[in-house]
Amino acid sequence: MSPRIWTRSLLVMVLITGATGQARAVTSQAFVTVPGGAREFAMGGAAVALTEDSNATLLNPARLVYLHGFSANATYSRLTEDIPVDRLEGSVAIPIGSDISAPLQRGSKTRRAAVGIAFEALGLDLSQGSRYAETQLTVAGAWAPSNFASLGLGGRVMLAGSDNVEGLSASGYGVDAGLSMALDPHIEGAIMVRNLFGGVKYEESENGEDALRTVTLGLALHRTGWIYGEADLVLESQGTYRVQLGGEVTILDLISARGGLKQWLSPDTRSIFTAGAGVRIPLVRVDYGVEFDDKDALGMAHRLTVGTHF
Amino acid sequence: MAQPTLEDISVDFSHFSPDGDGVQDVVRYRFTLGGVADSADVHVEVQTGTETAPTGAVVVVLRDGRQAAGADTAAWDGRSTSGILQPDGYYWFLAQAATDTDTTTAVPVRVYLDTVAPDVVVVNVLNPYTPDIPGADSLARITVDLSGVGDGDQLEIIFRGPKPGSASASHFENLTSDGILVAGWNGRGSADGMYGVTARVTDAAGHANTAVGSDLNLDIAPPQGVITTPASPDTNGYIRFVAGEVTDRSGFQSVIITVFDATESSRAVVDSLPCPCTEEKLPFSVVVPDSVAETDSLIVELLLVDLPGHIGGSSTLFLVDTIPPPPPIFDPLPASVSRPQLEYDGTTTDADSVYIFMNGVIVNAHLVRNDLFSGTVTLGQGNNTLQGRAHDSAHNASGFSPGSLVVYDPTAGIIVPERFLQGDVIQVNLDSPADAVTINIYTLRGRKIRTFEDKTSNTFYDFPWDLSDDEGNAVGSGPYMFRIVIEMGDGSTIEDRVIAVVTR
Repeated sequence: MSPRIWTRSLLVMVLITGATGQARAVTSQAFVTVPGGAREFAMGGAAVALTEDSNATLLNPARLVYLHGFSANATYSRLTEDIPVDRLEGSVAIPIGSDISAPLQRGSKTRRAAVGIAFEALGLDLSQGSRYAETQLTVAGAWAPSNFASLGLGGRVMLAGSDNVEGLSASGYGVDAGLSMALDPHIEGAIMVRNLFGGVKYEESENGEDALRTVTLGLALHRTGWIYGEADLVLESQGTYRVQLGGEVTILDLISARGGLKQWLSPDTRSIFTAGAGVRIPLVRVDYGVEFDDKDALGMAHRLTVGTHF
Repeated sequence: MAQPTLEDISVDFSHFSPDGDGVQDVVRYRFTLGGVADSADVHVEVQTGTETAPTGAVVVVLRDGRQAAGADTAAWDGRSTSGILQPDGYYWFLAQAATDTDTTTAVPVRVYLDTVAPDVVVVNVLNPYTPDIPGADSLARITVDLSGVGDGDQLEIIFRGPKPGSASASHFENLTSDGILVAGWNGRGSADGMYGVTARVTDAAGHANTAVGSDLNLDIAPPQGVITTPASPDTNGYIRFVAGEVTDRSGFQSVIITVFDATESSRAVVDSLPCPCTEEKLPFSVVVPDSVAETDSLIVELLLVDLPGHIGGSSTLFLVDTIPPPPPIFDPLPASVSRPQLEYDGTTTDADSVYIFMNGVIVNAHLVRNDLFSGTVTLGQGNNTLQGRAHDSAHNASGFSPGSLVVYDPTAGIIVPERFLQGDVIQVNLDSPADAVTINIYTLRGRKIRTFEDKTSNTFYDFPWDLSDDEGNAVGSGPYMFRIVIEMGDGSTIEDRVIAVVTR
């Protein structure tokens, strides 16, 4: 497939996803917590063009082809200040098939295909002490038809319920689509549509609602081994959009320091800074991220990830 | 040299009254001198006269001398050259214009000097006035003595009432002083009641005089009766006494009250009031003997004839009902509330009113419509037991409905329903007043979708949410974080976050 065809495919995807991102139907706010590990969290959430481990199952399945081998991550998050809103995420991904020579890609190789599976669980205390939980199971696959681009597709089932409150059981589904391209030896572009198709329905509601559709356009810059950066434009259902910026510096291939900015642009403007750090030792990587949201909003949020890659 | 002319001859009043009252005290004679290039000799005088012609006796000369061509006005105040007020009668204006060679005389103009005001007396107003009775007078007859009016005077008879500001009038023109005038008014379109009658006469010289007659009693409505005992057509006991009141504007020729068993009309009692009488209201009462009273259906008839002859009355069926309705049923009430105001609804059958009891004490009474009742009650802190009792129109009362326990617990705190539905309310209950409460609602992605703010000083705050965002768009189902900031009156701040799940 020629670069021109890829470029056209990219444009078509941008147009389609852009249009769907402006849909005005009622959009469910269930199953909407931001996925990903502490590394991506610390970088303002900007990750669709640079993630390269099992977290790509949720962030951009097209990036699964850049796995270096078996990858697994487990992430714990505390999403709001003062009240327990806890989130667990686990993902496993493995490459399939032979390598493709990928001179434009860092790591110098690309897998022909890869698959991943991810589990998300959200638990929180409601206003009068009852518990409410959401769980999601996502299976994703990626395919690289050439050595500079890849496509990914994911499917997800969602369930929610409460231990004490009737009417809070819900179910849903979602289909993700992702694209990743090497634009330059040091620049990668990506498009990720979460819930390109999807719906959610609470059991006692008369009608189902659209699952929150998120379209992310990402551009990543990297110098292999020590510095990474990404800028994302995120469009959500009902006309909400924001910019995410993130950067990472790694010293001695051992310790990483990260920072980011999540800038809401519409309907209101709000700046949320993020920071974090990580340690990489053989086979194991530990990352931590923190988000400094306004005290009158969600407040500080924390995310911790332990991963293994071999 | 040209012939002079006197043109545009006129007077401003045909009658005038130089009595100093400011109305038509002076009459003005207008003319235009023409036919000459510059001027001519003009002579204007007033002569005595009859209705048809002047008699030649000069009263006063108003113009006599050289005068430039053009329009002029000569005013006369009814006095002679020596200043003596002239007697009532006809007077004539005469004018003449002359040059050295020619003379022109104007057509004489008559005026009437009238210093005597007309007089009018309303002799009689026929009462009552009932234009609707066949054979009765179709017109209200107002007799007026016109001996004091002059020829050409005008009469206006005004009927004023019965409501303030309302009036109608009849006009009579060119009266002659031939004694008596009988005026009629048909009262058409007017309401029953007392009407003031005023006769007002005006002469051509501007004098006016008014005479007030006795009030006119317009009575078109038939007599009416009201039964006050029994108070309702349905009663829960035998009717042993009937009482009420009959009314008519003019009084009654006869009032007959008949009470009889509806199933056996032979069982009857007939009573009447002493009439004729002129009272506008008459009470009545009839004792019903057991032989008539002990039935399930009794009819009370009133046959009324008023003095003008209108016939009125009524026939009322009274049913004896001794079966009470079933107790009312409340729609489900909340087991506990955090606000003292509790709204309730319920249903009942065969009842026309429901009494609401709280902890055994009556707190509300409702009229039942379509078997439904609803209301609001103010709860006391702690346990509140609501009960209802239905009453039918015969005053039969049901038993008490089963007690519904509602606990009013105004415990301080922030109350957000865990499952938030359309129209649910975010409540803030405080032990002491706050200055302001602000609530921001966020999705779990951190997007702020709605802000509520109340800057009044209060202890209880309610924020009903229609599940729309600040732009009015519907928000989707799912968990939302509510950030609450309370600015207390003492300057301190209370902050909290809670989560609730919206479902549509």
